[in-house]
Amino acid sequence: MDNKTILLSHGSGGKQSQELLELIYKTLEDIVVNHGEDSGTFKAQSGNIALTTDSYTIDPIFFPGGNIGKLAICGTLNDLAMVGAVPKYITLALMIEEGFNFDDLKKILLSVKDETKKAGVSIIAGDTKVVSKGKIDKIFINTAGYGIISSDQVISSKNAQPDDAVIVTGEIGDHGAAIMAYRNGFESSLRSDCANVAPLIKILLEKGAILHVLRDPTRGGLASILNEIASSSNVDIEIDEEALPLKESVTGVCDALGIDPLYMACEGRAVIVCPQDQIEQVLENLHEIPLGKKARCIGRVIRKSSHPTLYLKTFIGATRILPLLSREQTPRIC
Amino acid sequence: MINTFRNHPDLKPLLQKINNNVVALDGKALPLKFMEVCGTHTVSILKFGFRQFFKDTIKFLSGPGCPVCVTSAKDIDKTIFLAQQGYHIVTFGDLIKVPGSQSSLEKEMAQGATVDVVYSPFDALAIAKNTTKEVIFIAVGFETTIPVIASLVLDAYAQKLNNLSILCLVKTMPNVLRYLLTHLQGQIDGFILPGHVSVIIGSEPYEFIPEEYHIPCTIAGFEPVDLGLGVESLIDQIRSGSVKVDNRYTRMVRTEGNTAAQVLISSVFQESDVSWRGFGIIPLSGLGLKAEFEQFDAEKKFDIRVDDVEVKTACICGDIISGKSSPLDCVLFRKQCAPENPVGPCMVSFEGACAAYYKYGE
Repeated sequence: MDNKTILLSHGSGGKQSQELLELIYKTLEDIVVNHGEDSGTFKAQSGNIALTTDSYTIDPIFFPGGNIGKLAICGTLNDLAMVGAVPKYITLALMIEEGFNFDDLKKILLSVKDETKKAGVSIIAGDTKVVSKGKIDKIFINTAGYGIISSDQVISSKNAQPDDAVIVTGEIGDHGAAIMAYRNGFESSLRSDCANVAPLIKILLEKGAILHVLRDPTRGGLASILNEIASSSNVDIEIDEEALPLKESVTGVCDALGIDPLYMACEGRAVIVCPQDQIEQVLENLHEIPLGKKARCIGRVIRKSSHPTLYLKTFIGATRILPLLSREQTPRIC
Repeated sequence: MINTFRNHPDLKPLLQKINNNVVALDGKALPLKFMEVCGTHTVSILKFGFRQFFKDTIKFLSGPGCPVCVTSAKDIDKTIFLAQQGYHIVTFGDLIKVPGSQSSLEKEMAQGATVDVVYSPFDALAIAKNTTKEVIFIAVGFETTIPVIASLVLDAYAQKLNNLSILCLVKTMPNVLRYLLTHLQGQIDGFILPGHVSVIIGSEPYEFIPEEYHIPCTIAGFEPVDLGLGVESLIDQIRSGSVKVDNRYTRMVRTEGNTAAQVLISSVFQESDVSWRGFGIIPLSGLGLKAEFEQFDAEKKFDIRVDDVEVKTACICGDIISGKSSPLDCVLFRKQCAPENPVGPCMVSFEGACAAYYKYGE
């Protein structure tokens, strides 16, 4: 398939459509179930289930550490994990711009396959559309996820309690910094942290850890997610700058661009809020899995509050507010 | 490398020692008033918590060191006038949001004006080569940015580009400090001098401050350890009574500065009187293009007609950049004026004092 591109006719439903669908089904063969029907069907479970959906668009679609396909699977699996669900099924809808390269599509599908397979999840429904050139930017992917909640714990953004510990499962800001560095033409070894965190959460729940809040700090980064938790639970939270797991290369890129790594997206991390007496067990369990090796306790919920605020204790021991940003961060000019 | 200067084990003891030394000073009213001239220092002081750490001992005043913040409303009106004539405007990002007397470049863009936001002045060169339209680069900045703008002019000259010009709004540091000192004498106990500007101009141009005004000066970097060392130097100078320009950013700043960059600047520009927001015209506090490059001067090339409109708002950006007031003194701060709806330039720029107080307020 040398430089073959996708044409509008590949989305027409006719003969050429078969060629595109064949590529998709062949690549995803062993993870697609119910192929050839108008709807996917599965046996209903008793108890609580989780359902989520997200659409993915990113520039560039191939980035250090992943691509839009990996992102679309991990992002949705992570959303399921953040309510304590074990992912079971996923749907995959592709919107492709006319002129998109067949080989690039194949690379994206191979990432979809890898991540789905690793997660032990099946693709239960899908859709493919080809749209005229210029109507969308290269490729958009929508995925929906279905998962089963077996724990009866209340895991919710509203459930942070005074004195709870705040834990993050790995280094922060890698995804945002890698994308920024790549877009600005910096040479760096930075890679996106894009990963499926569901196995981390699964093991914590299996080992009986008590968890109050789970969130993945995607858009807006750690500071925005902690602000949301503070506000949903009506609490003040303080994090300790000294405890933050941050790569020096991430700090370097952010400093050069005048942006704050605490607001940079992570795509393979979870923020866990749990009672203080759970810290040791949670960290021990996380450290057993490579993805959780750098997990750390970074702060605590300090009190109930009618003006929920997120505080940062800086390196020098001073305290300042970490607000929600009101504009998208833009690189500095001078 | 960064962490060596950001989170060094000796940092907290150093800052504690400084605090103790300030309290032990004889006959000095506390808090001491130190002016950080550079916007990046303002950000560091708030971001790393220095303002809160020294709240009883040192008051940090923001100086006129943010290039966007010191640009006058009339100069912003000139950029808007040029955009309205259909010329292709090329500018740094922050400038598009700064309100002039009636509009902003951002609002003109929504009306169809062609405005490109770039990270390097050289992007203007590439844009000019690919269009027949008049391309105008809005040149703001201090000595740190000026060498690159000088290179842009020299390249345009060498390539005989006749559709590129610059609206020259660049400013220089030493004379605005002299102006501040004549107006604020006795109110500043020490200067934290701008690290980036000093890389270019060196430490010599500031010597008049200790010599004529007997005020301690330090050239500092931007990491917590750099700032701590700078503040320590100011306190030591106050204690000993022996004042000087103490370079504590020796890994970047040489006494004579970057002489190659200085030659580049003086080959293209000459000193001129320029207008500053909040101060008015200050003699020889900026640069204009030399006569041989006047074909690239947008002010000469185009008939720019803007009125002297006095903008009537309660905004006190002018007082803030002269160290007379803090953003917290402004009645608009966090109310009518916020980053999503800035009234004055100090709320627009990343390095502006108001934006920094808004973002890093305790």
